[in-house]
Amino acid sequence: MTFWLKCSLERGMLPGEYAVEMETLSAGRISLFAPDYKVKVDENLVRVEMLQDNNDDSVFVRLPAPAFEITTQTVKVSRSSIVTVE
Amino acid sequence: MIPHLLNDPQQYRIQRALDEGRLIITPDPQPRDPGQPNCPYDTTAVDLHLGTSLSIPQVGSFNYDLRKKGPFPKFLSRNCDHVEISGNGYVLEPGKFVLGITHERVGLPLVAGHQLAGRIEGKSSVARCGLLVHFTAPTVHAGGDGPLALEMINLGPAGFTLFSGLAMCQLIVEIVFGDPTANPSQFQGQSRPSGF
Repeated sequence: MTFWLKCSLERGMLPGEYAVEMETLSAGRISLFAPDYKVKVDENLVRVEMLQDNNDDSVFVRLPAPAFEITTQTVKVSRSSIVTVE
Repeated sequence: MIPHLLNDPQQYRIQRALDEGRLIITPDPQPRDPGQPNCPYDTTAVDLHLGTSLSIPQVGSFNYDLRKKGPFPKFLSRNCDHVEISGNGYVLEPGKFVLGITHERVGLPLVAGHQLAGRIEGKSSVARCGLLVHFTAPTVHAGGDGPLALEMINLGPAGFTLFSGLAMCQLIVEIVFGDPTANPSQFQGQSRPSGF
């Protein structure tokens, strides 16, 4: 099972990477560069690691790369922003 | 597999890590035996080469200000030019800054108890021309996978011709103590997400 976070994507500075923006509950709107194998361009998704289900409307996930706006790769996001792929 | 290398683990640990799948470099640097001509390995590092693409930040009437909220990666990406290095090479003029990537893809799979990390450093031949091939971000983290970004700036007095395949930097492999996995302390807002 893999977990994907809804985001917006644009081509990055280098081949094989994308500029990614996503909305989080813990840090607001944040952005990062992610390698192409960790995004689904057509679906505007970025792969994340599920760390903790909070049993409410939120989950903690680990981002695929450091974000510019915060100093941790772990963020809290809404459950509805996560897409699960079996 | 190169059986005789295993007899001397102190000398050939990088090759062993490749054989064991703890380090993945694609394409596989060859030849592996330092006794052969043009071997990219020495006892502590393996050479990596410049790829075919460059990203050239545009000169603009803006300042980078990380305090400003906004899609900084998109801003950076929109304000750069993408160039493929031709057969004649790309001349990096004095004082100019470009981004490149390594031809090789480097992977450091998470392996409990046997984890490796890495860092890239320049090569003396390039450094003596005044070229920095990376600065401030040399670490290849455990679990990382992909080509390595090179932040290149020419501090020398003359242009430097960049060409695809140039032995540009070297990868140094380091042993990680402890298992680098996500842990609950990351929820407490520490400044670094991983304790290694």
